[in-house]
Amino acid sequence: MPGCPRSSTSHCPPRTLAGGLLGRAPLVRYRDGMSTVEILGWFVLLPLALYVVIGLLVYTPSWVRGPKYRPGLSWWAEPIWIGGRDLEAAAQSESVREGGGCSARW
Amino acid sequence: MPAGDAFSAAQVEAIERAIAHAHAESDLTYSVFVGAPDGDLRDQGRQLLGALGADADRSVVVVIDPAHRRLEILTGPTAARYLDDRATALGAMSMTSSFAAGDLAGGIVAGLHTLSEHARHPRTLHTNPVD
Repeated sequence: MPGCPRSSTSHCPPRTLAGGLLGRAPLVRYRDGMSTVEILGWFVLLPLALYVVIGLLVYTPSWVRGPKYRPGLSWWAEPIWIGGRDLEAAAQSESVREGGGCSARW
Repeated sequence: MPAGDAFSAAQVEAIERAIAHAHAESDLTYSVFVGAPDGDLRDQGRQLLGALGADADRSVVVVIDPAHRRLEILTGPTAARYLDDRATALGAMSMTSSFAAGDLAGGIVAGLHTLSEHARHPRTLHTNPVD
């Protein structure tokens, strides 16, 4: 309100964060008023918390599963022989002619 | 991507279960190699078959190179009697259809089931070793 001294509390509307920073009463304000802590809680902390929770819900399953194979991209993992023998010993072994089999690509 | 394991512990366990199931169903020995060998993939498979020693005769080795999107299935001489090339091609097909969708472990499990179903054969009395 024009002409309202900064130190005055009577007959003057309460100053909000924006109004207080600018040194004058705002044109629009909450009927019940909100403290700076409440404003930060509702408009900063709450959206941030939602952002983090939704992000965790989206990314946690892939973090748990680990890196996923994507066809066409480079292979990153160490060789593994499941159901076989020690791979280092296998590297020294003689080749054996197979009885049959097939080749495939994808 | 950083170096690490190709499969999670649960995936390795699922593949090991599929190998055990395939062995119980067809009486052949199965193993799966996943890696990116420098040389020819079939040569790598022959070396792995050789590393199996006496078991190579009744073994089926699946060699998968995810980097170059190649797959080889090799059968030992006796295993080839029960699992002909057409049956291995069917197993390879069920694997590659999953691999193309990015599911390596699922494709291996499905392929092993297909291979063991086709390799199933009745036991011959007095010739199979007693378990």
